Amino acid sequence: MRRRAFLRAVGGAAAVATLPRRAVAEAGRPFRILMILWRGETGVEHGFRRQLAELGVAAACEIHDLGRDLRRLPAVLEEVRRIGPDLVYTWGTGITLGTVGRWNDADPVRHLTDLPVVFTMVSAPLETGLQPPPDVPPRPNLTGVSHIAPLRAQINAIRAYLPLERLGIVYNPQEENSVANVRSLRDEAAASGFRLLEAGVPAAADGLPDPAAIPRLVKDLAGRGAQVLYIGPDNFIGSNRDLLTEAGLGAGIPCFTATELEIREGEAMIGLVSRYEAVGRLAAVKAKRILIDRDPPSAVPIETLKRFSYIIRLPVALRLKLYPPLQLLDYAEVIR
Amino acid sequence: MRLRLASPTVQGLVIAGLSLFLALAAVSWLAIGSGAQLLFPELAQKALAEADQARRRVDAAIELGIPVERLVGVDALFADMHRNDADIAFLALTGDAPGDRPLFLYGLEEADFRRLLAAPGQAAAREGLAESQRLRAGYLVTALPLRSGTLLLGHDEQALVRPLVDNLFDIAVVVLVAMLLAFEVMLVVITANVAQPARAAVAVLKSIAEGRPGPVTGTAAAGTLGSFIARLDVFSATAAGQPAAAVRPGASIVGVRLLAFLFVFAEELGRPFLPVYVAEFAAATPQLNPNLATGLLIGLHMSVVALVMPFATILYSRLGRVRLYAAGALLATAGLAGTALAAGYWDLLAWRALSAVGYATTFVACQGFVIETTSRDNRATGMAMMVSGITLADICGPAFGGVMAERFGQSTTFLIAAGMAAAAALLVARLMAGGARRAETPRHVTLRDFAVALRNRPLVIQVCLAALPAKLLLTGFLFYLVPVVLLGIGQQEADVGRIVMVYGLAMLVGGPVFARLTDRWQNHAALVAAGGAVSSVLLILIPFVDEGSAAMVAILTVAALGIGQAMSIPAQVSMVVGMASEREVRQGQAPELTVLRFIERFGGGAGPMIAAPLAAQFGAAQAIGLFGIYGLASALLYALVAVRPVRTGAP
Repeated sequence: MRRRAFLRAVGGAAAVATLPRRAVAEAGRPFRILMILWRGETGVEHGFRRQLAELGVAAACEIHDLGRDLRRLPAVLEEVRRIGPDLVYTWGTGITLGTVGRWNDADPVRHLTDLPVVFTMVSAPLETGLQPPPDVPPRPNLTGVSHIAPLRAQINAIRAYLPLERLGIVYNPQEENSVANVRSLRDEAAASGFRLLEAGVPAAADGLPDPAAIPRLVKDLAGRGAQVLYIGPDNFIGSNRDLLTEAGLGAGIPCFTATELEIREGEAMIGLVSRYEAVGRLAAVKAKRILIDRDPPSAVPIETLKRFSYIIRLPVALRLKLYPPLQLLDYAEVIR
Repeated sequence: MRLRLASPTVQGLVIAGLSLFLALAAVSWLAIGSGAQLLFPELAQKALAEADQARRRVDAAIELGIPVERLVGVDALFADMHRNDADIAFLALTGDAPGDRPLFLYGLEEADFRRLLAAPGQAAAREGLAESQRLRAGYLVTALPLRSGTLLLGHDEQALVRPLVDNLFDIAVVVLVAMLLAFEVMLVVITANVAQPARAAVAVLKSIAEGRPGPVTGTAAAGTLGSFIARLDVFSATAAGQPAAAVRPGASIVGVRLLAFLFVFAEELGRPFLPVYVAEFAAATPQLNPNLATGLLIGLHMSVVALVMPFATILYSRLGRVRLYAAGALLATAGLAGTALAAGYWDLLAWRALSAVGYATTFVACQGFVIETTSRDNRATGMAMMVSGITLADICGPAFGGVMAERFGQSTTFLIAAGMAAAAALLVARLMAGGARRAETPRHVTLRDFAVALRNRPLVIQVCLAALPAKLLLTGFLFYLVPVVLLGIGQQEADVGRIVMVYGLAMLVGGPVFARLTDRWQNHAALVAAGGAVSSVLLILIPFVDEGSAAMVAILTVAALGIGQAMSIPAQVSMVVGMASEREVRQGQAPELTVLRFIERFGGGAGPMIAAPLAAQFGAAQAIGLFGIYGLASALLYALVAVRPVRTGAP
């Protein structure tokens, strides 16, 4: 609480100091943006704030951190309704789904249906039902940014490094976004000509997926001939990524990831990722259109970035003796 | 005017021409020599830069900790480099121990590679090679040490001389054009200042000798020769008991050659790249189909020429030849300068039309000049004079224009062309000076001519199956499709210019040969049919030719077109002349000939307009094939309809 108050004070002071040049809400105060976050502030929020400042949007951001616990969301939403901010910012698929619901299943009692919501870090807005299909009009109060490169680009990124015939994936069947991702991968496998080897993590006695099962599943995938392990947008795997990558290294299989954290802080070997900062900046552009240009959120398209970063984690490559081709080194970022 | 080898004029020209040629050749040779010394180090340096770039990439990988023998993607690196520079022959990475097998080797067999390493390297610092470079067994080998091992990059040694050979061609073209231009100027100067006055003096002396003196000169000349003739004239007149007449300046027909050369040359400079030049404007203009727009614009030129000529003929009697030519040359100057500086498709269209108006006007002025200053007896010679000027320009223009475009850019070349046209406007007052011998002016095409011509069935066959296909092939294939295809596969403008030049050369060489054959062999129709077939049959093969041999095949095809047309055109003309009344032909008034020319020009305009949509629909090479089929079919049909067995008892 103290931190939130502090942030509000800082945001407000910054806004006041530069008030004459900045666009502000009608009442003469900075815009109030309420942020609902999964695991505290990340680079995404950093980029969001910086871009807003560069666009000349005076905004005070209030953080509501769920601390990786979705059960705290209803209370936050109640607070949101009470405050009535100018814009709500959500982080990740779980929070966004809880905040606005599916496009064909939104409940005005449980979900926000009138306040404008800008989401970030949603891997598959369409597949998870946040975004209506293309032939249906867009939702009135929702827009946002996806951080995942298109699957075809991801597969091509793997193939730029090594030949791919069998791709293994360990995933949490209880997670909406992860299941949607596996479905898409199956389609892509058929279209791009490789086999997808799936391993869903079974539930433990408490009904939650069991991390202890991961090494066994990886070993099993190795036995079936998996050449690369795919780390998708999966919060459970994200939390247990070291278990997965270690098991992969043990079996001589590199990991590919489409999210930045797994390769920056984990031991994945190849990544085709959006930089968190860039995701936040694009979200800020959308927020500005809603706040300043007064565009309805439905008129602001849901997008993914146009450019992605190719990242190679060199120690993993050297350890597995899987050396990157010369051509990749021309444009990839190499983490040593 | 028949030139005899013994005549002093010819001897003078030969001597002057030879010394000019020797001087130019010497200068060119020196230029090539110094060019080689200047270029070779540059090429070696380029090879070094390429090798160094590859070294940096490989070293970057080694530096990351990748063992050199386990590098991935060296094959792709070689493919990449080879794509950017086709002269790169091989790439090798070797380990540190000498004599080991190469770790990577692309573009060369291992045995050949070992032989190459064993061959003595010529360390040739004086040739501008770097420390790391050697000439070995036909390759320029650049060897750079890696963090671990060595990188060897091999360039074909032949490649190092290739730019020199290309330059050689360019220089040869420039020498040729300079020679021909100098020749034209010399011809005018010598004829006007020496040959004609001398002939006049001989005539006066002869008349005195024959005992009937009188003022017979008709030539004004300057200098010693001039005053000599003037005195001779006075003397002769006094002897005849007549008052000395003022010297009447007479026009020299030789000037028409240079004038015709200049206006055609100016227009032909743009020939090798006009389609691509226009296409850029067309592509930049929305709501236009670029292919159709390009064809339209190129065809427009010839159509405008056909349309404007009758009007220019009417103007001729009002303005007179000098003013008409000057007006035409100035219009062409404006048109060409506008072409160079055009901002968009539509104003380019207007500029091209303007330069076409200029072209038609100058053409009519030259034609009129010939008719005015010649009698029936020497009119053919006069016309031949004008045609030879045009032929020379047809040969030199595209080649020279190609060289200019490659060196200075396409727009600049059009500016140079504008300068040529302006020069022609300045020269005309001098070259066309003199009084008319006859009050005759060129006549224009009338509807009556068409009525007469179209009732003539053999003429209609002639026009539809021989004259029209010939023109369509010329403008559709040679003027439009050849540049489009060749520039499209990466040939330079100068190459295209030289290839287009082959047509003129083939006409120049083949023309006299086949003209004689036409006279001797009375079956003209067979020659026309054969010429049509020869000019079109190779075109059919074009769609099946691969890019590598495209330039060679293009040269052959263009040469065949030139030879075929050299076969058929004299025969066509003499057949059409045979259809007209002799009196009208002699007066240059045969409606059959006038209509033939008119329809030919329209056919010329239609060529690009047909070629462009065909190329857009089927591809340019396929369009050439279709033109070939059309040409061959016309020739065969013509053979069926028009060719009769040789008349017996022909002289």
